[in-house]
Amino acid sequence: MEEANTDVIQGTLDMLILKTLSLGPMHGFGITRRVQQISRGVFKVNPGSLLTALQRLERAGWLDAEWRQTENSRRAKIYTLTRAGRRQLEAETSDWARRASAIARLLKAEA
Amino acid sequence: MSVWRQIVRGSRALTNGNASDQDIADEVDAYLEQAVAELEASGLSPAEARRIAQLELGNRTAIREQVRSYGWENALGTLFSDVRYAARRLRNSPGFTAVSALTLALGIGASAAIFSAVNPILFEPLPYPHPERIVVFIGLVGAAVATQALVTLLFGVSRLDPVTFLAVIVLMASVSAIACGVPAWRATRIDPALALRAE
Repeated sequence: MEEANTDVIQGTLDMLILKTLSLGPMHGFGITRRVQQISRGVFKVNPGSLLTALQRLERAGWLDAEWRQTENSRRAKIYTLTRAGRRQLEAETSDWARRASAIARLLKAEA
Repeated sequence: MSVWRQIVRGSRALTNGNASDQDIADEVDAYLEQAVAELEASGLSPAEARRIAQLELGNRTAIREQVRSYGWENALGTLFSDVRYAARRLRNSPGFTAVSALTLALGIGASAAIFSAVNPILFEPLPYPHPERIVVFIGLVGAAVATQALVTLLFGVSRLDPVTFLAVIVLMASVSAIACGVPAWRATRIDPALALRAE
């Protein structure tokens, strides 16, 4: 049986990260798990892409990063959504909604 | 875009590459440790948990490189290493270096010399009465020489046909007269008060 594609839809990774972090501060692996759980396994985040995206979003000022102790007493880089990040998330969400509904309309179109 | 953060992070990676590399490596390792911890919590043996987590993560070096390749400082780093490489190669082959330097020096010198000769003719008024006649003369001589190259393409007309030359002169003169005259004529019709207000 062919394995189902679990790649995150291109261009949506930033939005997924911002949304996941809007639920609370998290480390990289936590984001991976959350995305996988909430999407019920439809999307699996690639660790390399995730860590690169975190770097980019942090530099853009949308996230703050800090090395901290986690609940299982390991050190991890914890990411927190900033105010600018929240605004960006709103912008990306509404843009996504606009485009997704357009795709849905197109797919439903009948001759 | 947080320009400040871009500058700070980028220059830190440039000046203190080891620290920022270490930070990335630490984060990749921490990612793995969290994955292992979660798998252990779900009841797997530590060895099994680590094996599965490593499989899921993939090649750690590749991930580090992928994360590291983000940022403007990488383009700068590539540029620096290119320059260093070029310098090393030039030092290793002094003959080639001398020839290229000489070629460049001659090229620049020749361009400067030609420009200094052409500059007064093309861009500055000549120190003679009626400089335009000199220009017309140069143009006519130039055209006479240039037609030599076109002679095989001509049909039914001689290379120095006076009528053609005269027609071209009249045409060019009228084009420049119109190009200069029309805007000037329009400018004279504008109310000076209006022109001053638009200043």
